[in-house]
Amino acid sequence: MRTLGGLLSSFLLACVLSAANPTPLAPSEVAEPSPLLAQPTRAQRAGAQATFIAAFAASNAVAAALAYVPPRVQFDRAGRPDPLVTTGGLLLGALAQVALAPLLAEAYRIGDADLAQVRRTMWQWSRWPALGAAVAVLLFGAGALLERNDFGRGQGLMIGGAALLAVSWVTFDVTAIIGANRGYREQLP
Amino acid sequence: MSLSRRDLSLGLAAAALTRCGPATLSPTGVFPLGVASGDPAPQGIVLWTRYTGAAPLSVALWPAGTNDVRTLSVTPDANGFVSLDVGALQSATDYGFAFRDAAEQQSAVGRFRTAPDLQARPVVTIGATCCTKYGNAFDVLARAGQRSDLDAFLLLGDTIYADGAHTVEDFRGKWQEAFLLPEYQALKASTALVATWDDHEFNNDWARDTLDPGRFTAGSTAWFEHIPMRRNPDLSTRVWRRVRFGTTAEVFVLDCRSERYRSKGQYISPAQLDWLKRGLSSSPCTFKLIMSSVPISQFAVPFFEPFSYDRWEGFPVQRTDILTHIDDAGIPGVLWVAGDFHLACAGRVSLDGPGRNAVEVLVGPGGQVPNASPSYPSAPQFEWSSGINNYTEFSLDPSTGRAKVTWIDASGAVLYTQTYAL
Repeated sequence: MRTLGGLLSSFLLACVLSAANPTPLAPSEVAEPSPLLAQPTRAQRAGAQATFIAAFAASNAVAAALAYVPPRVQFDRAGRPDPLVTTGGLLLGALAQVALAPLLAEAYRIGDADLAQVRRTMWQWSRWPALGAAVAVLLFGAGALLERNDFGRGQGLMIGGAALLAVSWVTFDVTAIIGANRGYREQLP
Repeated sequence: MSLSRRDLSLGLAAAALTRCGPATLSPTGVFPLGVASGDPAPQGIVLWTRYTGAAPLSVALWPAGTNDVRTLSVTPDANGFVSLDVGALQSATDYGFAFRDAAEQQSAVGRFRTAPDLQARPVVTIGATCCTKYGNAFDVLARAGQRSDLDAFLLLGDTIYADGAHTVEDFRGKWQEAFLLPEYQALKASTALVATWDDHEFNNDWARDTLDPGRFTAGSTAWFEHIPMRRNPDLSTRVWRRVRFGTTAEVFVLDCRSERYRSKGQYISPAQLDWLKRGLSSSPCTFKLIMSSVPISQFAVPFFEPFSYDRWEGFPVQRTDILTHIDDAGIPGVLWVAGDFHLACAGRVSLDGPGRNAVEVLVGPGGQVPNASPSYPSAPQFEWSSGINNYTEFSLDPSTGRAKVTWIDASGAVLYTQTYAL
């Protein structure tokens, strides 16, 4: 679900942003000179955004794989899941997703963007979902710890953590993409 | 009984094949689904095959290691299915058997052991599994099929996955795709089966009042065609029954599906429940194995709670009734055996309340994906669980009153073993 949710949100946003070209600001609305080194063409702008979103979708897949592999390997060895290992997988996946996002802003080089501004705006938009993901993993981990010694005792927390993580993950994807896009558009003349 | 030269040669060949073991199984084209036996009794067995030829058919059977071949003529039904209830056998004896037609085409050789005399108290060894979905590896079945020491093998249900089937031809197709596999043929030929059905022989999570009657008729027709079991003389479609092994063990085979009515809160019929209670109370056997396709254990935890509607817990009146009966009557030796969960498990039926002293063992899956729960049953109610495909061995020793339960994977490795003083 996490993988699907992440990919789906990225894909939907890609469709929306690709279909609707960013509207150039009217000259009267431009308060300061554009920080762009050169005026990007429409193709450059579209290319930058499409590349970023594609890279984001790919990073989702990588993060989901990182979340999946440790519990899978552990299950194959032990024949049963270990909730703590599952927690570790989720932590790894969430960290990867949050850590990869700023790197993906490199895609905006295609659009001659100030990458620092793209990253800054992206983080402003996505920091709360990232925090939500961290809380979610903590909740899941606390549940896993309880579950380890008392079957059923930690499952409520694990379910709550997993649900919060799924929501946070999808929201992080959406807000990071919107934030990066905003950060880029703010630079356009 | 007359013994012709041909019978003797068949018997000798078959006996030789038996000694060679199941690896030599090579069913011919007119016996495409191999052979099987079921519901062993001290003097009887049900022999099974499907014959696609047209010549007169017979079956030869002989005590293992002897040339004492007995031949019986067999009349398949209109669709070629043979289900022959053979009597006058020696108790507690290994037999070989093979079908042969007048055109000299012979089936694979099967093996079974008749049940001990009703007063005998030998150690009884029984295998069990459940949940074998076509498309998964059936190595576990092949591994179990290599054994020649089992008194019987329990199939706890979900033997096939026929969820999309509607007509009897559809259901037959599902049975055949499973039983054409050499792993299943090896298992069926190696020992007597004692089988019940669960949901996937018909449709996911069905009850009698949620399944189209025509679909039930088609599914049950195909089930009785493919499973060797002794039919009830009064009600031929009844699946619940008892199979006894001396005074060592009695297996209570439940039908937890076809008498289930969700609208009435009925998990099994009152008649079946009464039969079970009376049978448990009156059984002279040291061990009473209750073969319930779906667990009776309390799984009142968030990961398992959403599915409680499809097991005993969803029918609390009857669940409490049978568990209280066992507790109050102090019936010793009861062991619940279930499947369905795609995980193997051992533990107490309940943490507290009725069933707190009862033990339930979950067998299998025999060929399925493991349960997807991120947390498996564990302490304090459960002592062990695993999602690895497996079969379970029950070694029941009446002299000690101990039941040794061992879960074995496809490589033959022991996953877990536990001995219960019941």
